Amino acid sequence: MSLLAALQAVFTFKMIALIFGGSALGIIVGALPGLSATMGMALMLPITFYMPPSEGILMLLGLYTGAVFGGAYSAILLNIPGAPPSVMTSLDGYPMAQKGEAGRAISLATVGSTLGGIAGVIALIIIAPILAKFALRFGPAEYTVLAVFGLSAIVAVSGKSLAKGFAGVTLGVLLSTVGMDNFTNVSRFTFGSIELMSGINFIPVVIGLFGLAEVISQILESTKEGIITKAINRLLLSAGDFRLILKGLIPASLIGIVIGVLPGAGGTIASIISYNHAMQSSKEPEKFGTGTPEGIIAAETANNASVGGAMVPLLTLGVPGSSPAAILLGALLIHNLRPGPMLFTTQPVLISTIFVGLLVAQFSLLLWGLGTARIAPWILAVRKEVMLPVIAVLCVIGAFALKNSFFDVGIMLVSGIAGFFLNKLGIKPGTIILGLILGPMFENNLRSTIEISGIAPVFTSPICVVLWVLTAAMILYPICRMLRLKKCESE
Amino acid sequence: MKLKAIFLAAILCLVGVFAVPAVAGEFPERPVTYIIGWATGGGSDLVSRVLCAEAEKHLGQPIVIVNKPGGSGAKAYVEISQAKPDGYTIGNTTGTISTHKFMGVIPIGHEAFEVVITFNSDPGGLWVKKDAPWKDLKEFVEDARKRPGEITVAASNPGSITRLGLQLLELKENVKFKIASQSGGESAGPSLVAGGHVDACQAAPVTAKSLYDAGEIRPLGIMSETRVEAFPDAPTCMEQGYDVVMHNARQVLAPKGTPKEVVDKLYAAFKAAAESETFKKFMNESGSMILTWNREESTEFLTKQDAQFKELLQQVGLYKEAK
Repeated sequence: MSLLAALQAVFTFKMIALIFGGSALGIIVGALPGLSATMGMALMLPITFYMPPSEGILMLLGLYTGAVFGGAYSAILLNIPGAPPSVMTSLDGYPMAQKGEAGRAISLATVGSTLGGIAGVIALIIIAPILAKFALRFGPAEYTVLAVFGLSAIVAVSGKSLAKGFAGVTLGVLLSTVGMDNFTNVSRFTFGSIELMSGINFIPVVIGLFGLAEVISQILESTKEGIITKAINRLLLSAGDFRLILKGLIPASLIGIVIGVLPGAGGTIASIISYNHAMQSSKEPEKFGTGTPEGIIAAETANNASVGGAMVPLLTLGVPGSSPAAILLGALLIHNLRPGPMLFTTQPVLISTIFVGLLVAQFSLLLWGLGTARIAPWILAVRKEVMLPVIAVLCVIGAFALKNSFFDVGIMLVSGIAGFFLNKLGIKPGTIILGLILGPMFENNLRSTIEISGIAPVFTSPICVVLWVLTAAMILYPICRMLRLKKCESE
Repeated sequence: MKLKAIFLAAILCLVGVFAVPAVAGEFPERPVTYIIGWATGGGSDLVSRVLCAEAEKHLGQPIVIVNKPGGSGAKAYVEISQAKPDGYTIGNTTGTISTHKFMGVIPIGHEAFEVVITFNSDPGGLWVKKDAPWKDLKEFVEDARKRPGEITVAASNPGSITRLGLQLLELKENVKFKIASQSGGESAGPSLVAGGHVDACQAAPVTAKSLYDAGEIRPLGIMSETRVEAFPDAPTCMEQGYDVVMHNARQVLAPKGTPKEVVDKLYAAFKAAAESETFKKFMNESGSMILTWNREESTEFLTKQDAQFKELLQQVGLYKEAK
C-alpha cells in the first residue's frame, strides 16, 4: 500500500521536476571544482524548510546523486576532480579524454554511475527493513562503539598523513564540546554567551570549511585555466564497453554499498577501494592510469552505489554515513522526522517515496549525463570573477538563514578562514566535520551507558564486540597493506 | 550566461524572503512578528506555525514567524522583552520561562511580559515496555521503594522540565530511580524503553505517541489533572492516588507595557485559532493538549509554576540566582 502511495507521490510533474532539477543542480555543483555535494546541499537546506518533507528530501537526494556523479565531468575533461568521490575517475578519465575519447569516458562514467546507483538503491530497499528491525537493539553502548567505528574509519583515510587526520578529528571533537553539558548542566566554553549554550551548529561550519575556504583559496591561489576546445567525439559506447561495464558492475557495486553503509566512509573511499580492487584483480594492472575503461567504471560505479548504502544507517539508525547524509539528517529533523526505527513505522509512505525517488534520481543521471556531455565544458568555463562573489554571498545567506543568526554568519566566516589555513596544513575539512558530528555521539552515549549500567556493555554486548572487531580491521588493514607493499618492493 | 541568470534569480528569491515591510498605525495595521526560541521543525516551531496560520485569519494581518533558537528559548525571551511594546513583536514560551531565572540562565521570567494566552500543555508521563512486570504506577513505585536506585528511567538533562517531572515523583513518594540522561532531549527515551535498554522513560504523550501506537510501550501514569484527549486509555497519576502534576505549557508573550486593548485583540485571535478545527486536528494527531487560558488565568498558572519549579530546583540542587 505504501509503495502504491509512494509511486503516486513521486510520479507527479512537480516531484519529477524536483528530482531532475535537483540532480541537474547536483551535477553542476559536482562538476564545478570546489563545489561539493555537501556544500550544494548545505546551501539548499534552508530552502527545504519551506517545502513538504518528501519534496525537500527528494530534491536533496537528487542533488546528492547528481553531485557524486557530476565530479566526473571535470575529472575527465580538466583532470580536476570536481568533487572528492571523483578523484579516482580522473586517473583514467583524463588520459582517455587526451586520446580524443572524452565523450566515451563521460558515457562510461554515466552508465557506470547509473547502474551502480540502482544497485545501491536496490540494496537499500532489501537491507534497510532488516536493519530497521535490528536497530532497536542499538542502545547507548552500541552507539558508543559505533561512534568509535565511525571515527576510526575517517582517521584511517584522512589523506596523506594519519597524524593530520587525527588533528582534524580532534579539532572537530573539541568544537563539539562547546555548549551546555547535558549530564551536569554545566556550560562548557560558552563564555557566558546564550548563543553558544546550544553549541556550535555544524552547518555554518560546513558552509565555512567547504564553501568559503574554497573561495578564499581560489582568490589567493588562482591559476589560469584554459577553456576546453577539444571536440568531444564518440559519445556512443561499443558492445565491448558494455561487457566491461557489466563485468565491473557487481564487485564495484558491492564495495560501494558496503563502504557506503559504514558511517564515516562514503563515495570517496568506496571509489578508492573499488579502483584498487579492479586494478589488483585485472590481468593487465599496468594499463590502469593510462586511460583504461575499467578504471573509470570501477570508480564511478562504486561511488554512486555508495549513495544508496549511505541511506541505510541514516534512515534506520539516524547515523549519517557521510557529510551529505548528515545534511539529509538535518532536513529530516527540521520536519520533525527522527530517522531511526520509528520512521519506518510512522512514515512508511515517506520511506517508500524516498526509495522510489532515489531510483528515479539514478535514471535522471542517464538523461543528463548522455544529454549534456557536449555542453559540459562550457559550464566549467564560467569566469571566476563572476562565480566567486556569487558563491561567497550564498555562503553568508546559507549560514544566516539557518537560525536567522548573525552569530552563525560569524561562525561561518571564522570556519572559512580557519578552513583555508587548515587545508594548507593538509588537514581535510571532512575530518573536522566528522569529529564535530561523531564527538557528541560518542561522549553522550558513553556517559549514558555508564549512567545506566557502568562501562561493561561497551565491551560485552555482542553488537559492540562485532563493531570493535570491525574497528580493529579498519585500523589494521592499511598497515597490513603497507607492509605487504613494502615486501613487494623489497623483493 | 544561463548559469549567471539562475544564480541571480536564486539570490533575488532569497532576498525576498528577508524583506519585511514597516509602517505605523492602529493595531494591527501591519504584519506581526512572532519569535520562536527553538529551531525550525521542533515541537514549539510546529505547534506555533499551525497556530499562527489560523490566528492571522482572525487578526486580519499576516504573522511572520522568525526562529531565533538559543539556550532553550533564553535568547528569544530576552529579545521579546526588549522589543517595542506595541504588539507587533510577540513570541512563545515553554516551561523554561520559569526554570531559566531560577537556574541563573537569564534574569527575567514571565513577569517581564504581558501574557497573551496559554494555548497548549504537554504533561509529563511515565512509560514502560509492553511486557514490563509493573501493571500500574503503584506497583512501579512500590518496587522502586524496595530497590532504591535500581530501576533505570531515561529522562532529559538535569534542569529540564522532563527530568523535573520525574524528580517530583521521586520527592513526593520518597523513592529513588537510576536516571539516565538523554542528550537529544526526551525523544530518545521511548526507543530505549522499546529496545529494553532502560526500564522506563519520562516523556510527554506527544513524544511517546508513535511507539505507543505501535504497541511497543504503555503508559503507567500521565502527569496531568485530566486524561489527554488523544490518549483516552492512559490513566493519570492523580486517578491512581498520586498527587503528581507536571505541565510543560506554552504561552504567547508580548513585551511588558503592551497596551491592554492590543493584548485583548491578540488574545481573541489566538483563542479563535486554538479552537479552530485545523489546530484541534493537528494537536490530537500529535497527541498534545489544547488550552485557551487568558491573561489572568495564565498569570495565575505561571505564578504557581514559578513556585513549583523554584522549590523543585532548590530540592535537586540546581537553584541559582540570575546575575
